[in-house]
Amino acid sequence: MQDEEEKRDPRILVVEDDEDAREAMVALLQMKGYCAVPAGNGKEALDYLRQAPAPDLIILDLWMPVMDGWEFRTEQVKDPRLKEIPVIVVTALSDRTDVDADEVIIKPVDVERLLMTVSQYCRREPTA
Amino acid sequence: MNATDDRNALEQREIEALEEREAQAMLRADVSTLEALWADDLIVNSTANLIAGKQILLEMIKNGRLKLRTYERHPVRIVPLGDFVVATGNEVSQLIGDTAEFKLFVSYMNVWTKRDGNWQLVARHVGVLQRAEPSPVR
Repeated sequence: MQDEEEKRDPRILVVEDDEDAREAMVALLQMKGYCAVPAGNGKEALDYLRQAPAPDLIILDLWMPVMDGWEFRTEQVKDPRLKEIPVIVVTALSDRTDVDADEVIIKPVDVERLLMTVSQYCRREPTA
Repeated sequence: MNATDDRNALEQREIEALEEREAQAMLRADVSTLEALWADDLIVNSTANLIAGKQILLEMIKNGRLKLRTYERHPVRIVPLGDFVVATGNEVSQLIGDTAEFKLFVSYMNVWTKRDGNWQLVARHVGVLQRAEPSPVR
């Protein structure tokens, strides 16, 4: 019998400062049955992660105000509770060597590729 | 005016009418009209920098994830280019989100082509000109 933790929809933290991009990505992921949570920059993301259950995946923009994606990654890997959470970076940067992440997807983001990559990192299929 | 000019003028009028029809279908979330007007291999690069295809866009409209209060399209230039017709212009829309509504001014480029005798939208690119402050959902 599955416990509540196993039955829940996979949770994804979307860290993106552009409101349009953030809302569209959250709406897309929610439509596909994921529990998507928005954060407007790295600091908001860390604040969320330090008071909420760990998500299955983080989708991270790099260029953001307040705390950018590089700073967020530095803080994430320092925290033993957070460091194992996989990260997909979405960026307009074409030089991937500058990016420390499990996956890098170049903007503009191909929705099909994003959903395929997300499904590889989330523990089970969402309910939708 | 020669035969080519006549054909171009006709195509421009046809596409102008289709541009309006497609915009109205978007506003009314008229999925069956959009299904006919959109090519199966349609590719859209949105203001959110997401590249999406026909099925995911129709799914978002059906699920109320892409909902519009108003939508006006103003083509500025319509140019036949061989088997394609390119329409460029601007649009003003009021998008309905979960918690707020957003007025968005964009420029766009639509690419139409004729398949099996019918014009279909095959590509679309949208860029933000201006985004107004969000307002509460009405």
